[in-house]
Amino acid sequence: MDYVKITGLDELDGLEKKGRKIYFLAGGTDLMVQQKDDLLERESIMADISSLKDLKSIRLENSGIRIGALTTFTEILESRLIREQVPLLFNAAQSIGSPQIRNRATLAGNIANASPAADSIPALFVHEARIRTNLAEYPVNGFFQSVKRSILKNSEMILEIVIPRDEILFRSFYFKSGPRQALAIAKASLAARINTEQDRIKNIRLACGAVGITVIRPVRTEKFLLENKISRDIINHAKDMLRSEIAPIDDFRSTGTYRSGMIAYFLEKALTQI
Amino acid sequence: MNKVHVSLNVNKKRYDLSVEPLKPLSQVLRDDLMLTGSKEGCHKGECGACTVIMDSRTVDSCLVPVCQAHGSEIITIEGISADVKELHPVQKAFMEEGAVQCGFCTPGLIMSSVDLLDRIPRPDEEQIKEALSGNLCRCTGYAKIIKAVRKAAQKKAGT
Repeated sequence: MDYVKITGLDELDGLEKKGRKIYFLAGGTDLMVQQKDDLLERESIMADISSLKDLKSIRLENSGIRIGALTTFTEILESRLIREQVPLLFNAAQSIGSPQIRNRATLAGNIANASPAADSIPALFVHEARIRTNLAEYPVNGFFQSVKRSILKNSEMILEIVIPRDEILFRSFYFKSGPRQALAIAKASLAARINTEQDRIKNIRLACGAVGITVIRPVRTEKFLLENKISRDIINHAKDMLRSEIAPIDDFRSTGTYRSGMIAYFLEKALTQI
Repeated sequence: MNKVHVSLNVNKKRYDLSVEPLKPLSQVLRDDLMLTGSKEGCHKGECGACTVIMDSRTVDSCLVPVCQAHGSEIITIEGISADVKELHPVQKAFMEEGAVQCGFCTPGLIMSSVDLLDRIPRPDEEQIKEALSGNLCRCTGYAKIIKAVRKAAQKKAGT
């Protein structure tokens, strides 16, 4: 593996021409572990982007809130803008790792690592966030293809995450089940944003974490709940539907049955707390 | 991997090194600078035994590639006390409260506690627990550790 320090985005083309796998190194909290566990390709380039200081920012623009790729979770938690306008991302950031991890780990890194259990990603789904790279801009829904695999090309690097401005007022919920509060990878998580008028659901977005090969937006359940009044029957039906839209597995962290049960319970919690 | 030049400021002393860029800071501190106070437990960012303060933030030094520490101000357990003959108030409180058993986690817990008290001089219990949530102790059960942090806060505030 070679190490390269990136000082400008114009250097990415030259890197691509070397024809080797490129890892972009930001905070290093995932890559350093993967390096130690020998999970990285040997013939590869570690491209250190940490000196691209322009990518360390949280800005409010007409298009929405733009979070630069080098912004850490601690900086997200210290941002009044995020706390007030994107409380779901704030809550998700709180549940990530530990203070030491949050001081280094970036939101863009959590996305690039593409884990279906990533804490920040369900929040980005229900905010219909967009991911801007040096080549294109993608909606977060569709960005992930499989476990640890995203749409990103080899020399494509995340520059910023755009959280669009809301036209309607949502109630937001984030629930996560883990073995303990700190340093816990999710067994199952649910982010929800729901807008109601006189008890009738007028708008609903759901995103489920750690119950499939990517974070899942259960569109059939959303469609079913839309225009419905919340009642015991509707909740039960929605829970069954949601369970049919996810594909949780048994692994060393949990079982598929437990995960499925937790996701359904989280939906019930959100619907009864509105 | 080619070596790079890295300049570190550790405990107010400057070190110039030629080192592999992705070598974990924890190993550089321990093996190259012989500062063995910071421990390596899990090497995954889970135990916090390697916690140091880098540019006023706690980090798991096992997860910091040394190239990214270039030019940074780093404080390790060896450098928290202004006077080498005098322990830091947090160290004293850990001793007085018996917040140490095997001692392996202690340097990391003390670094997180020192950072907390620099930020929040009078933390409540929840703030202490949150600040120490990235440090595992497998012996004492935390009650004495939390008590020690509270005692250090009171001493620092002079009450």
